[in-house]
Amino acid sequence: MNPRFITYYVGKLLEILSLILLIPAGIAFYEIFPRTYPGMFLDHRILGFIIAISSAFLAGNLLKLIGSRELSGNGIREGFAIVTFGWVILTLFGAIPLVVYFLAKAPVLDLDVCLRAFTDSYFEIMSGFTTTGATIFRDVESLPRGILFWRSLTHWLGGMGIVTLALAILPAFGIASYQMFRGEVPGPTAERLRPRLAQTAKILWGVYALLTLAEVILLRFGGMTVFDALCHAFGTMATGGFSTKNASIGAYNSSFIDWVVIVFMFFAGMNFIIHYRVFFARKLDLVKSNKEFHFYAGVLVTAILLGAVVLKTGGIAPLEQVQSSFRADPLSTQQILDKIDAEKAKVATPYGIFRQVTFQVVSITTTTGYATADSDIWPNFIRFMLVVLMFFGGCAGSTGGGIKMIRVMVFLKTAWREVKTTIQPRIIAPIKIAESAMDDKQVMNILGFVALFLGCFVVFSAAMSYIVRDFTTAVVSVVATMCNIGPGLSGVGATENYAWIPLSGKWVLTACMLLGRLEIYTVLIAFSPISWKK
Amino acid sequence: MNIIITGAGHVGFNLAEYFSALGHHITVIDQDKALCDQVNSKLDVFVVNAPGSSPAALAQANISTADMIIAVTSSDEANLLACNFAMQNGVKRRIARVRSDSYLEKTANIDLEKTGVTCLVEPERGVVERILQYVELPKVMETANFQANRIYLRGYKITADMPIANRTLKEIRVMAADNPMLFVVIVRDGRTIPPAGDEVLMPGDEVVAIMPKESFPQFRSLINTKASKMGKIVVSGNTLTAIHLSEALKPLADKVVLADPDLGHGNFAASVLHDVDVFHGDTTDASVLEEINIKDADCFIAAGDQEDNIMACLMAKAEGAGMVIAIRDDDRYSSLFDSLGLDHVINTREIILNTIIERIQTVSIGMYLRLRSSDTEVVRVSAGVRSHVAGKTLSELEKHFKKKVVIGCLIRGEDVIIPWGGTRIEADDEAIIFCGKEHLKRINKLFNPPASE
Repeated sequence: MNPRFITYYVGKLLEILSLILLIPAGIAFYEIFPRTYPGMFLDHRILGFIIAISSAFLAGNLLKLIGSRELSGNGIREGFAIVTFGWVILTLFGAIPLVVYFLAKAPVLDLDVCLRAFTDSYFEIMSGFTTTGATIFRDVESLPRGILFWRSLTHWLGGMGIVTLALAILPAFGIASYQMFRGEVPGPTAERLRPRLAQTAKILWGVYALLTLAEVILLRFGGMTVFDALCHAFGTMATGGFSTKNASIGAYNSSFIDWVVIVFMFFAGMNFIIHYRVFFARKLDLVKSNKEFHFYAGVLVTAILLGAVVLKTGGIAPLEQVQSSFRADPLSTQQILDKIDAEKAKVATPYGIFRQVTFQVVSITTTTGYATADSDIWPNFIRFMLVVLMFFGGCAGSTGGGIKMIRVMVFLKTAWREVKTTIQPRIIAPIKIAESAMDDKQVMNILGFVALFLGCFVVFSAAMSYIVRDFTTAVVSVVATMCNIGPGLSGVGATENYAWIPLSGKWVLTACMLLGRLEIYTVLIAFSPISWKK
Repeated sequence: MNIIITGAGHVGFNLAEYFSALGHHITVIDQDKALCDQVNSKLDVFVVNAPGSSPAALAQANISTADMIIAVTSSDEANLLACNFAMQNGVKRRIARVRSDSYLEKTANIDLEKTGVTCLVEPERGVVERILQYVELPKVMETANFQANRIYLRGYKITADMPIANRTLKEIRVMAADNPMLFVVIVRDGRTIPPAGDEVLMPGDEVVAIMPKESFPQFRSLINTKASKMGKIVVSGNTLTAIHLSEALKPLADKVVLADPDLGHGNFAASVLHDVDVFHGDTTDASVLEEINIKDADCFIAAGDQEDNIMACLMAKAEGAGMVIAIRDDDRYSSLFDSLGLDHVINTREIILNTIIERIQTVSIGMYLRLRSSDTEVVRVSAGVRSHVAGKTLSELEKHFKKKVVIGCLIRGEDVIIPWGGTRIEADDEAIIFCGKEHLKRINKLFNPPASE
């Protein structure tokens, strides 16, 4: 491992971050612009960004100064380490505007308040970058615009990957660039579209940006303000989930907006190479031949049908179920009854059921986490199905999290193969995806990943069960953060938030988000002792 | 004619033997010293020991004076390259054998003709097609397709339930209505009898008929057999043929199983074959046959490259397989197979040779195949411009043929003609003829112009 090489490139990433932070800073400035006054730069809404920009710039240059571009070796460990430490440190500097906001709001400044401000800010920005969308804000509508925009922008940067962005806009990152790309792109393989990685990164970001722009226009057309349209488009295309409304997309109560968001969440959960083929090469071949896409679409359709049938026949969950569900701030019976009535009204018609179930299923499966209904008071069957779908996640090469469809496919096929080979020991049955056989190394990598993922899930669930007193909340909060979804069940349900979780729990979940987004291997490689041995 | 053959494997060797016997000047190029020595000692041909596409070897073989190159090494690339070098040296006919499907798919804008190949042959395909015919119509005894599958030759044993049983050939012609077909061979009690119009087809007779492709459905109804779909077919062998065969058999069976004795090759087979169960195992091993449940197999085909094929078929038959088909590449022990209970034995050498010779079509007289059930030969000849037969009707020629020689089919340009007495043979017509071996010389004389003029 070459620590100085890593230092140099992390510094470079910080420099990029300081430039990007100029955008939300501009928005924050614009918010208070008509009432300019001396000392306005000390307004906490602007001050946070000024501190963040200058410190990120200084720290970036300092790291570049002590770092070195010289690299000996193959760059594999360094690539993964740059991605991991890059994400940890970018989150640290990205959290500064929030820290300033919290401290400015705090009535007294003591260690406890500082610690809480730092933890919450780091959690929120990590949740942003990893496109989780779990929030510690009880009331987002009261936040300054700069902060709101920055939260959403972190989604957008983290969705396609900030390292990938750096690869796209900066000249040659050198020999570690493929490892960095591989470390950040979701899925078991990182495909090149063009011989040069920078071109591939440019194409991916270009497709991503164009799709986002298309959604902004459609959402604006659907009645959102430009600001809200931008924030929600960032949240959708990155499969993030941060909203500018407390009731998420449900606040608009617009069928048109719902369907626009559903379609773009669906797009975001697809492999972006398919978008590239369809929109730029104008070929439908991948849509027809990509088995993972078929599986993804099949899972969604099945889940929607199942959910609709269960909701139609069973209706909203009974009062006892909702009452027994854990809540950080318990509701009175009347409040719960009101809630149930509100949800009942949404699914009163067959179209209502179809619209609500489709939205929640697509939102959870693509790991976005937007909500138009409180799926937490739907029947237990649907709640459980949604948790299962959380594990599935999006496709490889999408912005979604979770285990990824392709891995689930390989996992299921391998399990079926074991059945076959037990009955017929001599059969040769390679795992095939779209008529091409995978070599056993790839299959083992995927099985290893699934095992690691589930292993991490068990360990972190144990930790959360110790910290949080409700069992469902503890377990599902780990799933919802590891799979980068955000809302889960019970205490972290669709209409709840993560504000009440103890500090230690927030740090556990922060780790879950990073592990989930960088798909465990990247983080493990960066921290494993073998990587650091001489 | 000067012919260069690259590759002295069994295809190359047999081609060299065949063309050399016809009086052509052959040069054989092969990189294997042992194969070269074998050719040298057995044939009167010039041998160059070098890789098939080596420019030096081609120069040594006098490529600039060659009329034809036949590239049949085991490497597709070497074959294509040899044809390209031959084109650059002005060789007119350039034949390459290609085994990999990837060269035949139309994926990119690639034209193999531009690389210099004038004729591509895939001889393994011929073997696969022959087996498909046996599988499709399990009762068939004799089968061959000519002229790019446009002419069918089929042999059957007459049974009492066939509509044509106990009918004269004249009556059958009426039954066939507008679908031309000709019965060319009748074997009764091991003796071949001439197919005259008033001959009655008795149950137990073995008959061979020739027809254009379009008449085949009518023929099938006349002999009352339908194409049957098999339940399970097992193919064994570690060859490309076995893989192609498994793929081609898929539409003919509910389930196709491939047993490959070689693990590496089996892995390859499993990766390219879809919806085929691939097993690693030697089918001469009873436990392997047990695992693939050979008892349920309607058909077993041994397509390995070793002597084991016959043994594997006998094992499969003993363990309860339905029809068994073995692939062989030589003639040894061939007279034993019927008594051993093998349903069909396919001689790949003969098929591969025929496939190539049919594509080349330069020789005036070409041996096709010997019919299994009789001593009749099937030959293909073209009528020379000033030959004796040109311009004559079949009735006029009868005095030469004396019912011993049957013209089954005439190929005139693109047309296929099933002849009758009044049909006139024109110059350059090609005829498919059925006759005893002793008449070959006479046919050659009749169809070729007198040498003295």
